[in-house]
Amino acid sequence: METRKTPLDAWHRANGAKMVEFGGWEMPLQYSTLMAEHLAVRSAAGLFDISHMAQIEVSGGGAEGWLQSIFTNDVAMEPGRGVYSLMCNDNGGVIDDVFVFRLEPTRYFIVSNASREQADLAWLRSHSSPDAALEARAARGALAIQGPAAPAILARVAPQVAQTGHNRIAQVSIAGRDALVSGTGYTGEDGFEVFTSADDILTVWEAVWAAGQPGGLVAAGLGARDTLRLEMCYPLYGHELDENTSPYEAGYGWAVKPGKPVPFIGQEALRREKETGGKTRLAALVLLERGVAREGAQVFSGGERVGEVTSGTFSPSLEKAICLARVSRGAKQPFCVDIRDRRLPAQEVPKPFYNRAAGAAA
Amino acid sequence: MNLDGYRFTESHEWAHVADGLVYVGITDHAQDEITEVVYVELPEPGGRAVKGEELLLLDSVKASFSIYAPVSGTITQVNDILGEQPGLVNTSPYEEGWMVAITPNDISEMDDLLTAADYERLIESES
Repeated sequence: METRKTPLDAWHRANGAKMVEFGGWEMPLQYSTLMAEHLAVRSAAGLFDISHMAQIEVSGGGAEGWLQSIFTNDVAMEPGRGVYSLMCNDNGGVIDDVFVFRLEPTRYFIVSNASREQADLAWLRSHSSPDAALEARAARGALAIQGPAAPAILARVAPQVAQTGHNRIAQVSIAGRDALVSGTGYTGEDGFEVFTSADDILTVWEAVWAAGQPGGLVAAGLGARDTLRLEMCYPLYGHELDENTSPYEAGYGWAVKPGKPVPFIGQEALRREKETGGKTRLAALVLLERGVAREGAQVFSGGERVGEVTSGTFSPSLEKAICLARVSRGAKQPFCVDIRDRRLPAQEVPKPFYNRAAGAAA
Repeated sequence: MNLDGYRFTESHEWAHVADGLVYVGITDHAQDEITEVVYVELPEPGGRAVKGEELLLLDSVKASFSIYAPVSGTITQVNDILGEQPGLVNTSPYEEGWMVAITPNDISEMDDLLTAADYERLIESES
């Protein structure tokens, strides 16, 4: 399959981005350095192109009932609110992790992973409802502005966002263009995601970019997006989540409501798993010696192999090597991670690695 | 800077002879591609270097990378400062960011390596 370009592609190249393929898209990896972009998001603000993420609209009198039967979390919320949810198969394995927003009583807006767009649409269509219409936005654009300075910067171009709290969504106008703004993100910082069309995103992006220059806004790429999310222990589909891993195994049981009154796909399997516990669990590990554990590195406890690393990096905020590892449920400290035939000791720490209030805590 | 005395590999290492030793590091192009270096896993002095085989490993924020020996010989010195300041690989790739010095078995192996002009053409063709 040919890689797709976002509507901001020319802007990225003109601003010195190194481009990389991700989920079928050509995306900016970094503009300056990953570390600088990461730290700017933690201390000021970063601007991310997230046009690759799938935007799906569901409307109709049966929209709520249908989506309740698809998603693990409770989506019977008031209009203007959103919730993180998983979409599971009959065995409780994860088809995708998404954000579900309710725009109107009979209209929902779903944001899902670029790499899963086709799988998600196929799944939704194969479980369709006659009382709800599904529409994937093909010509879409979106950005995320994240960091402690993000609310003040975005308020300069869209004063209404002062009322758009955490996990809320509102229709706003930025530089004369219609957009949906939600109080969500993937970094652990305050911030917003702005969803619009492919035709409008460059105008919106440039307006936000200009407004952010006095506030220290930097353009940030996928490199920083990955280290930021990993410090927060947010899962990335294909790493911490897949069709053979349950939400409980990824530490995301909170996004499953097994007692929801409307039956949903995977409910029985997930109810059982909540009682008995998953086969594995996701451990947050900090390496105690020099080296960086990457995806696929084997994890040992007491000489026995207990699992493997799902994502690993060097944490710019903590200045330590961190990783998430899928280990057998009963596996306990002390852990070692095998890096090229060397067993490095690793300490399990509470999630997340990074705690905004405490700064670099772990 | 002037790289006239430097030779290069297709895997983006440089080699430079001083006092009979072949100093080895990675090129400015390579450090820019791999981004900020956070660990350099230096070998033990006294170990063997085999031309074209892995010499050491380094980690950037982005990923892990193998560094290959440009010539065969004995690893005589390692740049211990990189243990504390791995970022020198990024800020001074051709000088302070050197990694190991090899006593070569056959100094004429240097002649097999790319010249600065050859290397320049290589990275242009890769981009």
